[in-house]
Amino acid sequence: MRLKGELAVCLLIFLGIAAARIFMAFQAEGFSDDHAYAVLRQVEHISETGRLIGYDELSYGGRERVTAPLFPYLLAAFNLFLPLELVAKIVPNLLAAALSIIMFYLAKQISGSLKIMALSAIVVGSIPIFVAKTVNAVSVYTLVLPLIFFMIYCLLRMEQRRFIGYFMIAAFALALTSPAGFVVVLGLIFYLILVRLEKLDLTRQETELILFIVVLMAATEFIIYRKALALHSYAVIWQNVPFALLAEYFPGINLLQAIYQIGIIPFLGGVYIIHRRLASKKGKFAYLMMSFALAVGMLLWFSLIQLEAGLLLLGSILAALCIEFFSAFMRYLERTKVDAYKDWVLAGLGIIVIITSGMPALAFAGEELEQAPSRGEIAALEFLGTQPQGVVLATVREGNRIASIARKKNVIDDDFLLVRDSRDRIQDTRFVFTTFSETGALELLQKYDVKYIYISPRAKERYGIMKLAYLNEECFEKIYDAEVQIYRVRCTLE
Amino acid sequence: MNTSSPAFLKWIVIAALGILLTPGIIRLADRSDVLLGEEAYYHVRMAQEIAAGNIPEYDEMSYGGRPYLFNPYHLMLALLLPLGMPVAAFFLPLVLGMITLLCISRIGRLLGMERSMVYGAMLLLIISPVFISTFSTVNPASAFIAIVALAFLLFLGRGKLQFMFALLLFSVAVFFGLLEGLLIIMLILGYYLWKNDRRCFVVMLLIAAIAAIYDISSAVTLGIPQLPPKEASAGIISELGQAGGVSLFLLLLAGIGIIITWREKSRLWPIYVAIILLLATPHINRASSAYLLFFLVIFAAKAYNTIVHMRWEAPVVRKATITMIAIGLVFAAGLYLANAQQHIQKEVKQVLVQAQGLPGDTILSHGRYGFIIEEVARKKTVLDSNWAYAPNLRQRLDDVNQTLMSRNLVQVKKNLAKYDVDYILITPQMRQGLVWNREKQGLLFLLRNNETFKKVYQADGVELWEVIP
Repeated sequence: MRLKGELAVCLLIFLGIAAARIFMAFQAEGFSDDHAYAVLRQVEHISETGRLIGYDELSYGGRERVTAPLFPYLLAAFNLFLPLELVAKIVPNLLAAALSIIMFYLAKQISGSLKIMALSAIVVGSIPIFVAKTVNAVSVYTLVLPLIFFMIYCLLRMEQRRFIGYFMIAAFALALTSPAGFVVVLGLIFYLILVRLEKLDLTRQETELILFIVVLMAATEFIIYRKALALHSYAVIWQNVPFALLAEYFPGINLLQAIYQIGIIPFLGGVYIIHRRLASKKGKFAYLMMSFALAVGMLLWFSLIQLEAGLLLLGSILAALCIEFFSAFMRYLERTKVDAYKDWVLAGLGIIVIITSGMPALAFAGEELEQAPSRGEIAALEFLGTQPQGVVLATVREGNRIASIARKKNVIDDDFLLVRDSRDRIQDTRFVFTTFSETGALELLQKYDVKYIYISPRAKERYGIMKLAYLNEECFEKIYDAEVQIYRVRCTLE
Repeated sequence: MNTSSPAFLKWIVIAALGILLTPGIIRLADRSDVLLGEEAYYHVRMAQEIAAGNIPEYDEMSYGGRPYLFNPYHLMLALLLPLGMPVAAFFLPLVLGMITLLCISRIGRLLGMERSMVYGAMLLLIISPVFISTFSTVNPASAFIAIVALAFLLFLGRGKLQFMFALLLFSVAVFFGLLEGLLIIMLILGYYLWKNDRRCFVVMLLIAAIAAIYDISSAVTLGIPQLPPKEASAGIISELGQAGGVSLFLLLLAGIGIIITWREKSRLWPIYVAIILLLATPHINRASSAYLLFFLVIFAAKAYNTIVHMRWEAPVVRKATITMIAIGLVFAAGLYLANAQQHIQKEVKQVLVQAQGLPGDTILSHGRYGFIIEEVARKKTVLDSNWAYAPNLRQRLDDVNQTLMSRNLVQVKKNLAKYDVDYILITPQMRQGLVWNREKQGLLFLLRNNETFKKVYQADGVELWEVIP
């Protein structure tokens, strides 16, 4: 009976979170992150040919691509019976909501209290940055995070043999999903060190699984990214992001902003548990989570992981630590006179979570949804799609939508792996948008064989311009003029 | 198959032969007569000079003329040249590789190592890209390694004659370079700390004395050599762009091996010093990764042996881990072999053969084509990949870089005149990232100026341009 009740609560939370996320996703016509369009093109290509795009004729005017295969293949599997638009809006949100299920059962493992299980599932489902950055972005992290926490769950239940198998399957899936799996490797290595330092018991199976995952991740990532590793060497860590964009992709951490994005309760609860565990009591789960937090913190500190990805991971880790915080809080209440009212106190805590995490999550998600191309932009891209083929110059954050919606070649987009001249392209794109020199602009437009210039509100904001300074009808024919302006380049330099 | 059975050695030898022959066979299948490895042409040219009866003192081709630094390898190659250059270039590295392997097998047994560990180390060696690269191309590192392995094997024998021969071979090995001398000392020191064999002092003193005399006299006559910039090397890891480097998995295994053997650090520290030295010097010594492999493989074999033989709670994890390690190691070797045809194109040689009869005597290109230009076209180069004692190395690197990357015709003409450049060799690899990343970048843009440049030969993207003064 209790099991059925548990399942019902778990399903209710899952469906509630999934429904809320999907509802939000459908509030925007397009996708908030330009990279989503690159994923969609991969999915389309898989649906048509069964293979990932190896040579992308549209990106950078034609270049090789390297992509971790699992996420696009998973979406392509749903695309067999659902339209791509629906797959992209629904499936990532279902995956993201699945994190709540995992957290629910993780909490069961740690506390056994249904109320804490439910509260923990809600906390992780309402982490502001997780909601905002994954609700409408076809983000690979909607698969990465559930896989990581499922692996942690398996580690905690390793005394049952089948969970070793599940761990291995999840590890393999993670390796095929994203290089972010190295966070797990680093986290487990830190765990190994912490456990040794604190003289805790480390089972042989744990050591074996740590060795396994180190080897697995190294082998898989080397095979997937072999060309990128050979070409960029250590720069692969920074995804070959050009120096001019490093600060944009790997910005420094603002602590207050980070707390806001992670949520106040997960942050405070998590930090409290870290303090408590370091100061006195020892516990395997908390040490595991602390090791992961340390790994992510270190990666963020050295700018080895993008801020958004780092905060997503950190937020989820702190939310997991909150399970212990809630348990400790409940135990504390049991020792006080408010014991009789502890359900009300817990309900109050739930409301605080909703106010401090849920509300910022909605607000933050709203901001992100505004990043999606507007109806006017999509109309412009569709118009561009009707024009003869040619290279389109747009900002680096719009390249993928040019390729995906307009089906035109772009000069640059945000996938820098296997691109040799990304630095030049970034500089040249900025130059064309900001220069006063028509000759200089034409020379660069000619260099990349640009036929169209796509000037969106985003481009105007990025480069601080109202229009291109050197425009004239003789060389730049305005072929679209609404929210977006599109110019056809008519002149060439002799 | 029992990996600790003596019969397993036979299979290792067969596998090694197969693997080391593969790059050459791929080359033959491509109907190419281009030697594997860019530096092969330098050693063949010097060996030819020695075979012709004159040990050169001055190399007129390299860097427009520079002092020649003797290398015992050239003498070895010269002795084999009567068999024909392609035959010598094909068989010498192979024979040296097999000598090395067999010596290692015997050394392992003499040092009392378990057979499975010795064979494991040999397996790790033969599937390592750097081992394949070293023993399938013409390069002095292959000879140095084989000589040291043989010398060490003789040294481990107890007879006086063997010891004398060991001393002789160690002495020859010192002439391969200063780093090589230091590595021998570290190796012998490591052995001394392990076995307390006082004969080690004789070897170390002898090596130190010869190295001091040879290297100090070189420094006095030729001056202190300029160090090449770090960017001159692609590093040591094969997966991170160093074709024929140490595999990432071998490094990983070696790391685990170092952790496992850390308790023995007081005896192993000379090996750690050697590893650190080699990790720090890939830009100074081209053979660093080859030498590094042999130090790392000691630890990697220990790690692999431990992983295979330790008691696992979960057999499925054991199988998966070992499979993944094997996949990683074999994949690195496979990738190297698959890219074996990415050595210098045969069309480069075709164009350079044509260039032989042309007037003028200096060709500018990327440094990696320096040796083939000198040997095939018989022309001088502005620079090649032999950094040791190269005249004005840094200045030349800067000038060549400026010449290739600049769009300033006046500056480029000034640089070309400075080094009396008559021709410029441009290859598809140079256009595809080795030098340029896009069309009309740098010098490619200036080549449109037909008053200064004239294309004289072209074959499959390889172009030779004449510089009109």
